[in-house]
Amino acid sequence: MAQNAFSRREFLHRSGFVASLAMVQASLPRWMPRLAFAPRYQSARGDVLVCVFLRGGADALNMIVPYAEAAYYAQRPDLALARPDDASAAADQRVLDLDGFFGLHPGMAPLLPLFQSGTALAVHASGSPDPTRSHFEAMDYMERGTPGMQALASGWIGRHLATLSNGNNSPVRAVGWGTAVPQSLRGFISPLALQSIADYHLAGRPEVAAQMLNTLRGLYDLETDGLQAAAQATQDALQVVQSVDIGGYVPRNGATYPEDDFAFGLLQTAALIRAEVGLEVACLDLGGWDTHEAQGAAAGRQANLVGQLASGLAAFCQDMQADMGRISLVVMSEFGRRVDQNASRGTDHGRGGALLLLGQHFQRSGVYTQWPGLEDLDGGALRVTTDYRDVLAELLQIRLGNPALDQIFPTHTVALPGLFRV
Amino acid sequence: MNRRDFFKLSGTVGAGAALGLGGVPSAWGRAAFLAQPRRDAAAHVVHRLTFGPALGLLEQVRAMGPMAFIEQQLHPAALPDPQVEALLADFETLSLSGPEVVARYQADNQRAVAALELQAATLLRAVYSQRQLFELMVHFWSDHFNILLFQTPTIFLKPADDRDVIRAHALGNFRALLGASAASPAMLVYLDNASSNRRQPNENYARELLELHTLGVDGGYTEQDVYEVARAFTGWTIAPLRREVPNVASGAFYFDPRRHDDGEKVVLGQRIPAGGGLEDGARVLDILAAHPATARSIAGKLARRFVADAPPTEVIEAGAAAFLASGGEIVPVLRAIFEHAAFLGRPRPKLRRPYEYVVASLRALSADFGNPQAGFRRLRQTLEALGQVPFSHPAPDGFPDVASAWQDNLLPRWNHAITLTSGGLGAIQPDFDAVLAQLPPANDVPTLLSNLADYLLGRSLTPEEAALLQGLLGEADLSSAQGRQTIQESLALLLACPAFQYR
Repeated sequence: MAQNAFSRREFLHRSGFVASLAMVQASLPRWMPRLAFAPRYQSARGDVLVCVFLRGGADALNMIVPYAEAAYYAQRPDLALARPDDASAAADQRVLDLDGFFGLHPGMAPLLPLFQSGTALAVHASGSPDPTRSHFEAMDYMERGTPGMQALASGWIGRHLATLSNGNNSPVRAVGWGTAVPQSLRGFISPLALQSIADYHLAGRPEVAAQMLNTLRGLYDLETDGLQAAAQATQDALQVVQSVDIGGYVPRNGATYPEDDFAFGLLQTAALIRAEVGLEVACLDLGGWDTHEAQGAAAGRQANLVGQLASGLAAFCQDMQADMGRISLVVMSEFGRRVDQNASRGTDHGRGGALLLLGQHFQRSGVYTQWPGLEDLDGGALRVTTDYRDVLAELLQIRLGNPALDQIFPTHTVALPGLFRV
Repeated sequence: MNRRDFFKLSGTVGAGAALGLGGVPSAWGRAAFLAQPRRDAAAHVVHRLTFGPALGLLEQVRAMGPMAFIEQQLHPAALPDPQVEALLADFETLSLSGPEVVARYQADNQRAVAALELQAATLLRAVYSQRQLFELMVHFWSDHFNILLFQTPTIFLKPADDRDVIRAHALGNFRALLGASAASPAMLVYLDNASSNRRQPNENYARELLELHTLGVDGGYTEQDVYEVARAFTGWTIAPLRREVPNVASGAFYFDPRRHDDGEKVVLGQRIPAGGGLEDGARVLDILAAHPATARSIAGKLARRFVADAPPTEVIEAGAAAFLASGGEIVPVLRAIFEHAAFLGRPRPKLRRPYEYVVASLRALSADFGNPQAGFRRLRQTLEALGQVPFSHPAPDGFPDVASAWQDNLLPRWNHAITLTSGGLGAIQPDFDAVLAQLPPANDVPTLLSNLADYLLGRSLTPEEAALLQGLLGEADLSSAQGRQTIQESLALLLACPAFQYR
């Protein structure tokens, strides 16, 4: 047995894989992929897409605030944020003005410079045309990209990746940060659920692990269902992910990421982008937006989330300043919330929300909206006047180089709003 | 189907498989399905109705017959459970009421005492209890009536909900379970009904009650129904932690008539007259619990749990019919599902969720916990990497129970298999000797693998699987020190292999 074990180990060393890997690692700069086969992975031509989903139905009215609307203050006596010119409120409690009508929640201050420089754009009164106010149905529809229909098993990003042929075969082409791949990524053959780059390796001694992986590969290859594809993706990704030196990652421009899971996902996304390992799509979740109770205003439950979102995104943009020209980031949620507050000083499920876009190729600045106002409501909530798919479709076509909009959004005839430029 | 048909059917499973006559579930590739040896009925029942094989269990079920085992499991009170009782003897909080926990554990360094005991107790029961189906159903209802544990004040109140709502009714009557949940202080605060009032009713509980707990999202209710249900439950609240309510302990349920909307409500077309007070909520629960959409929804979810991610319509209908005929008794619904041909006649794959996978591995290796709470602390890291720490699902829908939600995160499963078998889980140590002692003797690797496959996977290995495993394990003398290593590696591989990922 000892002889056998040694032989297997020796075989592994003789196979050339380990030796060539070591040589490459010694000769390449830190942020080049340190793998013998690395040059096969070309960067995609289009932007890297970073998709953030705010789970629970984010209250967009208290993020991109229509402070010029009297109804906003009338319906939210305890939740409304003070106008930018309201001298009775402390300066850090007031809305940060964008255009004389809309302004940012004060917790979004880290993003104000991005709005002012044209790196951030909000699309208000946007959302899904389906009227459901169920979290789970609304999220599902939104991620599938086919509101009202569940016949397609795939998601909008999955279909984007499946229809785009750009020569990128990287095993980390699409990553969902967390323990599961989001619905939006389904339909693409090998999306990867990834929590931590540093921990992405097989336990145990390396030489034993390598043999173990080999046998597991064989065993999972005997399967024909989803486990086979998942195991294949895991095995392929192991080699690439382990080449990324996350421990030595230093954010640029003095960027400091907050210490939470969301910001950690952004930091790891930045690390994968800079490592040039073929990342094209990264999906992140930030949960907790179902603020039925004690939502708060300039401080409190939602303010904490808004601050977490804004400081994480701002750190990412600062770190990736030199790369923002090839990154498109989109923040979405399943629906907005009702205009009026409820008995618990919170808000119940509503309809229209806001998309937040970050990038450097916008045709517009500040807030884009076909504003329906806060008088003519949809069951007590902001109406949806911009189909979120029209915004995503334009992003896909112009920034990600995918013209197959009829396949990505098969149930929708897109009307491009004119937000992005080449 | 009657009982005799059931026995006939289960008796033919083996023969059908041998002839390649088994039905081919659409979710499973035809080639792989036909090529794979199938579990016998006893093994199937062990894998589906328990958290996985444990020492001697498969032999026990084979000896008594799968149907007798199912009946035994459907009546848990008659099953002695001394091991679990002994393990939980030192847990201080399991018998406390919510208000008692609130009163005793407010200090900052004490806040999580009851919650941590609940998590550890849940794991110990899953691993060691003889009442395996009961514990599976506790797991099932904990997801169905999901409550996030680690937030205030559910951190104090969920432990009592677990005992008085979930465990009290897990195999009882659905209406009783629903009623206990609706009045549970933990649920009242988790879905915000506690702070609702007649002027601006909070819709959170009402919506999830209709969508998740009873009718289902396609159950035919409207936005107006959500609003009416929210009105009916105004006044159902708890005494807050930091404000005194006369004659009500902090953290206990009470009905506050001043906050209740006492007008008429119309729910799903049925009138609830004005002036009903506390009874309005109960009337709503009566309407919902007896509704055919609820029967379908609950039966469908149970069929998804025990049969397949996309269960055949017939088995859902059989379960729903039993639900309606019995007035929402849970045992007849389960029996209808287990006796249906879709369960044993044409087994379909079901992926173990991560928590079940970890529990199955601990059962399989007869792992000793040492100090139970320390053991759980160590396992928490594993469960976090896998994405399923008990009572931590962030949304009211509970952890999903379909393969697509879990299958893309295989690496932590493989790592758990390696860490557990190599003794790397601290106080939690596998007992290889106990595992081997219950198996037929094996002097060579092929025999060992064959024995372990029957025990762990409930079936024999295919020639391809055997060749792959033997290729790695070599030809050790199993009595040597190297043989010990081989046994450990065999177990790691079998826990990590695809077949062990399935219930």
